[in-house]
Amino acid sequence: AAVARCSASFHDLLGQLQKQTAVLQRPSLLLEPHMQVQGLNMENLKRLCLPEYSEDFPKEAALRALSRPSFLRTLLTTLDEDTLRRLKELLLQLPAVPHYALPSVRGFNNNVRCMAQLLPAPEESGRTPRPTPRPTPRLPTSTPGSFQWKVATCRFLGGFHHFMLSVGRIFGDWAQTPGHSGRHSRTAPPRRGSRR
Amino acid sequence: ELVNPCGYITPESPVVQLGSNFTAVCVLKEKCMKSYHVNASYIFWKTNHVTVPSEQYTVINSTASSVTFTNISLSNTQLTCNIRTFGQIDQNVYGIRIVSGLPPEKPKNLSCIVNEGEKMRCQWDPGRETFLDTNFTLKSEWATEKFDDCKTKRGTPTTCTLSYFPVYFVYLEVWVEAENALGNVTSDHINFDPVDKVKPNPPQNLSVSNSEELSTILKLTWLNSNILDFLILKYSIEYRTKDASAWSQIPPEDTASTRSSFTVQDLKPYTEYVFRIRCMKADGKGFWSDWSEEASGVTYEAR
Repeated sequence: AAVARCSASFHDLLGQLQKQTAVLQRPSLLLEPHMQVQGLNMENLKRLCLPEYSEDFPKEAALRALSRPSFLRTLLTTLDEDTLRRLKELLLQLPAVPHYALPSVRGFNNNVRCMAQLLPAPEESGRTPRPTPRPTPRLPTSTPGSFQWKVATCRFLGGFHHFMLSVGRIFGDWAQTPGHSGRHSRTAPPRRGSRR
Repeated sequence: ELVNPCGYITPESPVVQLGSNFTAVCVLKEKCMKSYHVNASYIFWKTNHVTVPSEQYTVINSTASSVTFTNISLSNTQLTCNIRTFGQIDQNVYGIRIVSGLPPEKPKNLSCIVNEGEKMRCQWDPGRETFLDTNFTLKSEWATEKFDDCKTKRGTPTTCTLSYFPVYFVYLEVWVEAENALGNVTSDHINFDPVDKVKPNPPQNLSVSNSEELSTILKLTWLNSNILDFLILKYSIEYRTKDASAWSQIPPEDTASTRSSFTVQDLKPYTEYVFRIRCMKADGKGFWSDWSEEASGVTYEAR
């Protein structure tokens, strides 16, 4: 087991998580290199990659309905080894992706686990909505290189970035109400582009 | 007889701490004792071909004799066990090499730096000379993940470059383990976010342009490095007239956040100025970049 300890500072960890989501939500990190390599960056094809079509990541509304502990657990179940392996396989085919992309996702998981340690034990399971189960079914693995695979992959990557955008917004709300351990504040998520 | 020696010495290849006492035992083989009609009392010892005073010998039994050295200061010494046969022939029974030195001290002042775009390098003070082969291992971990050990190279025992690229915004715990034949010791652990150890690349393409309207200003523009994806920068801008040697500095508070241009005011008209710029993380954590290439420009003539 690792000897290193988690940070004991909610504020520090939250700051790191926000910066991580700021990096991981950028389409320029994974999606755009993929679309470039797979020739999907034409206007009419871009629509196919809209994150709304992705089934692999929970929607923001579902995430917002969770208590903080459940929200953190959902992040971990969503970015599980399965997802990391899929990201890893995809990145092998994307030389333009910076070397820190996948390690940053692992680093994000590290911080989520540390944050989970800092939060008070969740209320009785009866009142706390269970973590959002992984959306199923996962897209069947079509033949790599096929058009179906290219579209499925770009939806997966688009979905990933959008998921990170949602998570970043929620952590942003946490920053407004640090001590609150219930659901995230009900304030409407800030308009796109107003965050940076 | 080299192939089948008449006896042996224990310990075989000792590493002894300087200043301590050391005893070696030579044991003769029965066969040789019979052949040469000798026993342990015939044994005498040499260090680097010089006979050791017999006062340091102890005959343990008929086959074994020991020699003791106090406050050992020998380093890398050859110790041999010998017998005088037939009253006149000195016969070497066995030989060992004594290596002496010191256990490693606790490594101190562990620090790390991330040169932008490179893997993190850490360095430390290794402590006193040990006179022994001493291995240093740099260890690094997240709370949930351990990374590969970084083993120093023989020629550079006080620095190690990790095998993986730094991941920003995740606390990393780092420490050094030092080990040699006489012991091992661990440095204090340090815990930090690699983003706070960055030495950015300097601003690029620094250029200077004057203004026809205002003869006392020059505008600087430059390109920031990709590190901007991860941190907010602040800058140090210095300038001097072409012939001066001392640099003047723009007030730091005027360049305290990310930017890619700056207008320098209150300059003398129609004068050539030289500029240079460097950057670092805005909150002061990390290291200043190197200075950029110098760039010069001439203010416009006064009207």
